[in-house]
Amino acid sequence: MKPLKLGLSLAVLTLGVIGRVNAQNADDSLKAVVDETRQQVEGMAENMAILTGDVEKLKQLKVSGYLQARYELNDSSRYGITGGYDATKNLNANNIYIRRGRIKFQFQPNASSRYIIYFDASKDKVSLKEAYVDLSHRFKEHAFTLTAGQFNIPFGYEIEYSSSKRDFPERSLTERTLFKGERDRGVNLSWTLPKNVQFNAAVLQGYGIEDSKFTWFDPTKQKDVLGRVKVKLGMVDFGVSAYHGKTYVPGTAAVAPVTTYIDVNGNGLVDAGDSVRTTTGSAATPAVEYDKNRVGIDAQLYLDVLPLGGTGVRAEMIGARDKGKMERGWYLWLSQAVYKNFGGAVRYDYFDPNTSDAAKSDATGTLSLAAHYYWDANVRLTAAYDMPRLLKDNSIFSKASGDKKDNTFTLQFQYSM
Amino acid sequence: MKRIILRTSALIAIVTAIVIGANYLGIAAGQAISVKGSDTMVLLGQRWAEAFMKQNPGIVVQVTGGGSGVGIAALINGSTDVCEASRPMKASEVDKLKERFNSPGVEIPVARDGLSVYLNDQNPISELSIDQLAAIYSGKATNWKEFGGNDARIILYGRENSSGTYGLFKDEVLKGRDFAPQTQTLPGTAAVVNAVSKDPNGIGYGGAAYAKGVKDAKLKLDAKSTAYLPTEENVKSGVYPLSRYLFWYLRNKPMGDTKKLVDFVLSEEGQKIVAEVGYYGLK
Repeated sequence: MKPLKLGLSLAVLTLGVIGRVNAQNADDSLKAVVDETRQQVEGMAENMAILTGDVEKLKQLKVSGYLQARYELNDSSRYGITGGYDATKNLNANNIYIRRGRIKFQFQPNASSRYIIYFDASKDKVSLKEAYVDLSHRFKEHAFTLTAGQFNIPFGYEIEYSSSKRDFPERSLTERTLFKGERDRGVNLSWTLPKNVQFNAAVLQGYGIEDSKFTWFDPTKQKDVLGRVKVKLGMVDFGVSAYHGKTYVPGTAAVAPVTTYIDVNGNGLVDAGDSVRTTTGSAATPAVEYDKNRVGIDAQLYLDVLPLGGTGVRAEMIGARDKGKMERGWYLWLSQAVYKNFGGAVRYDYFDPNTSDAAKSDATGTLSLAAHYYWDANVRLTAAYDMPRLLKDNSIFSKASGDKKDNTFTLQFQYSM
Repeated sequence: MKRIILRTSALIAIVTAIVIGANYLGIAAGQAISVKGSDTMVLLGQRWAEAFMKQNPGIVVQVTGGGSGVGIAALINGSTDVCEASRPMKASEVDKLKERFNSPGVEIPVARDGLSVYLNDQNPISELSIDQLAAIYSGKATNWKEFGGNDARIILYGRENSSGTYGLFKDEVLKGRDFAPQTQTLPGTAAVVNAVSKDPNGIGYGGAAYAKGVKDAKLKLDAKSTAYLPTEENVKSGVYPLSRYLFWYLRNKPMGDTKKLVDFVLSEEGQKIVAEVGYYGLK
């Protein structure tokens, strides 16, 4: 019996030891697996932290822009309203082209500074539209931003209104004439008060970015100055702008009279049968610097009365003194949203390049109509019709005898991102 | 030319009439109402939608989050009917709405919320002033012992910059300054609460409704003021320094099914849901 007991005891002891060893082995191996898994998770967390840091950096860079592909059918005239046509080649102009291909890069690493560069690829060239640095500071509820570089001229309403949002293919004639290119180089201080009042004070080069002669330099010593006050009250917004600067008109050299003999009888000799023509000469004229003053008021009214959607009424008036003459322009613009995907608009745009009695019948009144379909959040299709009319005796609507057939139909596909 | 214009105009008119008609019929037939925006409000929005759809079986309401900024962007580009936002719209966003829809939008406060500052249960600190919070989140103060707590590094948790909660905290606490770069950005308030509940030295912020497993810090305006918890009474009376309205934004005055939904949200029943979710009603 004793050997059996001893044998059983030994067997139980052996099994116990084996069990404990196995359990110990299992614990060790589980611990190893847990340790390994923990290390893997920690490694992933580390990689995730690096990735998150990289993504955060990428989020500081924002890219936006829009493309306008356009079909434009001009009336039977050499005067397309967008200007710039070669009169000898553009009779019955009928074109498909890229009107605006914009891309904007914005880098903002923090709330206190921002850098923007903005390019345009349109028709057959690429140009720099904007390049500026914003330095922002907040003091309690007041926000200050100092902008330096090339940026939108902070005058009035329509200049800063993006072409990707505007109902009509082009800005009003007044803006296109007085602020060609809508942008200039300089510095602009913007001060926003808590109650939606904004002041702007800017010092600008003065010639804009599309002057054919003074492409980047200003021949006048004086820089142009600009001030604006804008008030936003929700349903009603309005603003007042003032601009003062100088325009340089180059002088001309003296021209001597020229006498030309025309060999009428074809005998190769200067004789009695020939005719003589003499052009009159002119004295040299000095270069002149004229005052360049502009004053503008603008107002926008937003109504929510029709069950179709919002109604916007926008108006702006600008009076200008440039190169010794007075200019005046205004527009009245009515927009209607129709549910989520449609919109329509009508605008009357008036511009008189010389208000004096000596220059009558030189004002232009343009009636524009537009209809939009928003395909999705990015795509807008627009059909627009512009009817410019030369006006008689500075009136608002009567047609002058020299009015051309120059209406334009535009069909535009726009993609915004 | 006149004939071409006439034909083109007629074609545009016909196509427009067909699409407007289809659009109108779609609205009349009861398309889904989409509600998008604040992550803080997504739970509340879903509860409202469930209760509303039970009462109005023919109307579908789809609620998604993404952040207040995302919701406002969707309202501006026309991809949502209602935007939920835990902060007021900025002037620049209103401008975009005016440009696209000729309307400054309609702002409807739908609830009130106290923005809680979460601390781990083990943290001996129980109250902070707004100035102290600003020092912590701007990175000037980095150790809890500066405020009488343990000698331990402060671990900062925060929200993504598309969040209205982020915007409110930045405006009200940091006065527009930047968050310290070591702030760990998390995708939702629930994630912030979860992180602080597991981190004895953590601090986070978010809607009062989410404070489960962490404790709310008492807040005071400055060292001399009294500190208050984000309770309903303190939030509604305005003594709690970080309180806010929660908003719904629409493009235009609500009509049809959308008006029914808005009326429901503002009704006694809708406001009862506000309290159930953990926010505070308007009255």
